[in-house]
Amino acid sequence: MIVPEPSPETAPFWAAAANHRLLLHYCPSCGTWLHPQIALCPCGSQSLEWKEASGHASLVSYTVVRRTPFPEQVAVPYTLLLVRLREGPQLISAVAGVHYEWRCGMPLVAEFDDLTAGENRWTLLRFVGTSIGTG
Amino acid sequence: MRARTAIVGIGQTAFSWSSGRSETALAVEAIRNALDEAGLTVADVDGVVRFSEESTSASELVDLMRMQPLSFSADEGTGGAFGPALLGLADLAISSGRARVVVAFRAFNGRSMRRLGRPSSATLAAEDTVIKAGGPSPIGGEFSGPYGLLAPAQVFALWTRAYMERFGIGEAQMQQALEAVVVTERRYACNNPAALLREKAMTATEYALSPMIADPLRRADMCLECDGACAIVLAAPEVAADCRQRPVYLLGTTQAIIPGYQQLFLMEETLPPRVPQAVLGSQFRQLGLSITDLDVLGLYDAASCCVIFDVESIGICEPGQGVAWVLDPTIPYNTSGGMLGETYLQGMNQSIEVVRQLRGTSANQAQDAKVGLVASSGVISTTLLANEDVSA
Repeated sequence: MIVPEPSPETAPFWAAAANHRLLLHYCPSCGTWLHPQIALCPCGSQSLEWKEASGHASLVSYTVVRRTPFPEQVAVPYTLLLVRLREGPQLISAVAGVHYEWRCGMPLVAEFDDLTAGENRWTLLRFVGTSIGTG
Repeated sequence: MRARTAIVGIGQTAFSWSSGRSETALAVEAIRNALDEAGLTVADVDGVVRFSEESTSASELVDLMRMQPLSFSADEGTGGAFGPALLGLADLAISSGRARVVVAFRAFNGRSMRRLGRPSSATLAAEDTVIKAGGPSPIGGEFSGPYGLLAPAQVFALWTRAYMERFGIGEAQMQQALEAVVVTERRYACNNPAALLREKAMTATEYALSPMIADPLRRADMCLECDGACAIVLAAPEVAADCRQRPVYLLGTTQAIIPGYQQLFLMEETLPPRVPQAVLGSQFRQLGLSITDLDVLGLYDAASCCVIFDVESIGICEPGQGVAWVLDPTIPYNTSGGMLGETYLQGMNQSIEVVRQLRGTSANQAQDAKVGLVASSGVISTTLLANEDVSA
């Protein structure tokens, strides 16, 4: 298992994910949503807030991973995803198994996956196909 | 004459799967070989440039090689994006008068010591069944590692799928294009006595049997992981005139670190990320050259797909046409076998091969090669080389 190690700046994102809420950075001065790791808005503002996102997304790209340099920690095959949230920022995600039925541009919605390994507890985002438009 | 810097010497060690030597020892040998080839000695060197992740510092080289006091040393960024920029850094030092003879090198036990995309740091230790992924790295970082984005091949695969979607390229057409790159480079490697895969040409049938790593990329699409070192000696033209080899002039270097190149998920850029064509275009215009003047190319083939993307980014063909271009290339590229067939030294071997081409000494010599372009990973940096000062 590969566990996210939050930085002081990203800890609120992971804490919210554990409560099944998807938080992003949001710039109240210009209305731009930003990835949790981005701390400066392109408008110049450093006064970013955490704000809950819709969970709606679309698939930008994917690859079916069949071999891994980490066979002890990661089960292959899995399908690695690059998704674009409706608010703008992009996230990496993954689903177990082979998913050639997926298509770039298809609408997705976020779900949450609570994981444990020994002392470690963390929550990852999973994206599943939806027939609901992403607007 | 406008060029203020010439490449006067090239050197390398044997390329192997396990050198049995330190990266420092490899660096010293490659640098010494490059100086010998140039007809220079260690005493002539007054500058050293290196990649930031190089394990041997300039100070250590001064001690170990008994160099004269260095008037210039500097590091370029990490890995594949900065090979040509490293030569540009030497050019800056020489053309500004800070140094007269500068050594650039890359020494890397990339197989026996530090496999990229393999557990190597404290946070990614293979023996643990639970490992922590932290930091902003696009591979194995906090927002990528937990989902299994752990190897460069997976990034290239995500680029490739997005490229296929954007330009309506089907599986079969993409496979045919990737195969063409691999088969071409592996054929070149067969004629290069220094190439690691010199006895291993690859047929289309063999390519199709290569195991899928991250769809649509197969093992054969990925660069080698190996050990070795390369060094290049650059000097002022007046020094070059007294050197043993025909000088190859450095006409110009470009660099453009673009958003989204490293962090494919942080930025909302279109994949694969592209350097604006104006960067290289204005370089060509300044020199009074055009793309059609290029006789030979050194392209950064960390994966075969990169060749396809990069000929488009350079402007050799239109976006989306790279898949057709590689089936019938108008300019020879990676004629040493590149990083798919010769060695993986983060593009330094590509620069050395373009120098050989411009001297007329390549094992796969292009006809009447006068001007060559070396491009880094993603065309983030480029160097234009020529065997006469053809700039206007």
